This record gives sequence, structure tokens and C-alpha cells, in this order.
Amino acid sequence: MLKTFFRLALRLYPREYRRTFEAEMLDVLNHREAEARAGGGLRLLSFCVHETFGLITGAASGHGIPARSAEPWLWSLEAPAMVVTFYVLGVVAAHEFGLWGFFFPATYVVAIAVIAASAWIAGRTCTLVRPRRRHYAVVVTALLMSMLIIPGSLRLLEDARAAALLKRPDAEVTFALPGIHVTSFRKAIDPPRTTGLTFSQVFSQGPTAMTLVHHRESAAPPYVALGALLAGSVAFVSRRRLSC
Amino acid sequence: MRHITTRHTEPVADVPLTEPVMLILLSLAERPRHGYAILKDVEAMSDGRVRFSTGTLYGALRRLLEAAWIERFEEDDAARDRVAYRLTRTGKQRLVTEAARLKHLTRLASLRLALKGA
Repeated sequence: MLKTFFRLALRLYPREYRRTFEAEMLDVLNHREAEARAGGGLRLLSFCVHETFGLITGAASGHGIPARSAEPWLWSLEAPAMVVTFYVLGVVAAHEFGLWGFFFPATYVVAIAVIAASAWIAGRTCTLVRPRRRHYAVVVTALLMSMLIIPGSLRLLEDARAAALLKRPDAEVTFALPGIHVTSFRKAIDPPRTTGLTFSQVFSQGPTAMTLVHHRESAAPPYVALGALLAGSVAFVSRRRLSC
Repeated sequence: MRHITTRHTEPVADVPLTEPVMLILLSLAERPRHGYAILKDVEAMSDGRVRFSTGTLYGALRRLLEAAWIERFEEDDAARDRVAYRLTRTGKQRLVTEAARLKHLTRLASLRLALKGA
């Protein structure tokens, strides 16, 4: 069973690495396992923990991710903080540009992915505070992404999504996520009451159909937190690779 | 203003060697060895203080191969096909330089400590 486990753990390594070292590593692991078994249960347990940790950190290193960060972990909190900042900037930009469809539920996934990319780009070059001259372009790109490109691209996506929704035979579609409701109607109706809703907009309206997006204010923090967590994780990993 | 220190993961010519890397090079300085033999030798040299996991050992070997401080070859006299490692000329030079550096430090430390004790 241990052999199978180690064989599987070796799959975490890059292909080229495995091609070169896999047979040798398995050979060494077999030797050490036999040694540990002869030493008793505690020795075997210690062997398993030691080797598992070593294989995981070795795989990370093989992929170019050092096991230890070059800086205090506290600095990594900059990444999620940056994500939230970008998110807020995106919301402000969406509001300013009248891109009301920004909060269409499906776009949360895209928003998180794009924000993660922004965080990754900016995070890996430590450019928030006193950016290096050669990193100015990266900072500007990241900021533009958060303020213009994100809401703009999301709006395009939402338009396409709404068009697809309305083409369905069961055009009257209602679905909900926590705090968010999207409703499509075959015919235009009166816009809903907006009291208690942060964003409740007629997303698209024609003579025979309309789509409404309701977004409760209380729903924003969990989604932002989810985005921050995901994007922060990405940026955190990238942060571990930097050496500036 | 943040303070970031650079962490070198690759062997760099002008940077002092880490103890594990030094021990691997010392192990191969005596004679070529295969992976398991290196592990055992390093353990013996460090009185059991330095114990590589397999993943760590091969990570270090890979970096040393990339730096061309060691090279792989197939042992001729082995019962079965077995890959072994040996020092290259560059690796040996690096080891000699590092040993000289450590020797100088040791001599300096002895001198200063003797002066302090006097």
C-alpha cells in the first residue's frame, strides 16, 4: 500500500522530473521503507510522515514553488486586501459607467478569475507600495483591468448570457443564488420595487421580454470574501515565487 | 516599506553552501554514489542530524545537476542498472573553495575566542 501511495505521490512531480528520477526515487523509498519496517511501528510512522512531507515539498519545488516564502507570511495578506480593493474599484467603475449588469451571478466566477489574475500580476511584483520603475506598466495594467476591463468584459458576457437565456424555449426562467435572483420574462413587466436591494435592475428589455437582476446588499460580503480567498490563494502562491 | 530578503533555491557560485548541499558534495567527493548511498553517508557524516527525505534529496540533486556541480552516470559494475552521481570539476572546485572559506572562518573564530579567553 505504501508503494502505491508513493507511486501516486510521485505523480505530483513534473513529467520531466519523473522521467529522470522516478525509478531512482522509488528504489530509495523501497530501501528506506524496509529499514523503517525493521525498526518497528513508530519508526514506520515517522518514515511515512517524513517522506510524505518531503515528496509534497519536493513536488512543489519541482514545479518552481519554493516550500518556504522569502518574506514574512503577514505580507501575503496584501494579496486578498488588494483583491477587495480591486473589487471595490470595479464596482465603482461599473456604477460610474452605468454597467448595471455587473452583478449578474454567472459573472462572479469571471470576476473572481480576472481579479485573481490582477492580484497575481501585481502581487508577484510587489508593486502596490513604491513600485519599481520597471513594474509601473504592470501596476497600470492591473488598475486598468480592475477599473475598466473587468466591468466592460463582464458586461459583454452578461449580454451574451441574457441573450442565450431569452432564446430558450422555457423563456420564463427564474433562478437564485444566496442573495441574488435572476428572472427572465417573456413579456415586459413593471420593474420591481428597489427598496432593500442594492442593485435591482432591468437587465435587458424588449417589447416582448425582459430580464431582471436582483442583488441584495447582504449578499456582497460572502461573494467578495470568496473571491478574495480564491484570488488571494493564487496571489499567495505567486508571492512565494517572487524574489524582488 | 517592506523588507524582502532573497532566498536562493539554486546553488550560486559566490554564496556560501548550505549544510545539506555541502554534505552531498562531500559525500560524492570521496567516491561516486547512488541516491540511497548518499542518504546513508550524509546521515553518517552528520551523526544522524541531517536526514534527507527522498523528495528533498532528489530536489537537491536536481539543482546540483542543473548547476553542473555533479553528473549522473550508469554504474558499470552494478548488479543491475543503477544510476550514480559523481562530482564534476566545477563541483570539486566549488567544494574546495567552500572548504577554504570554512577553514578561514574556523581559524578566525579560534583566534578571536582565544584572545577573549586570555
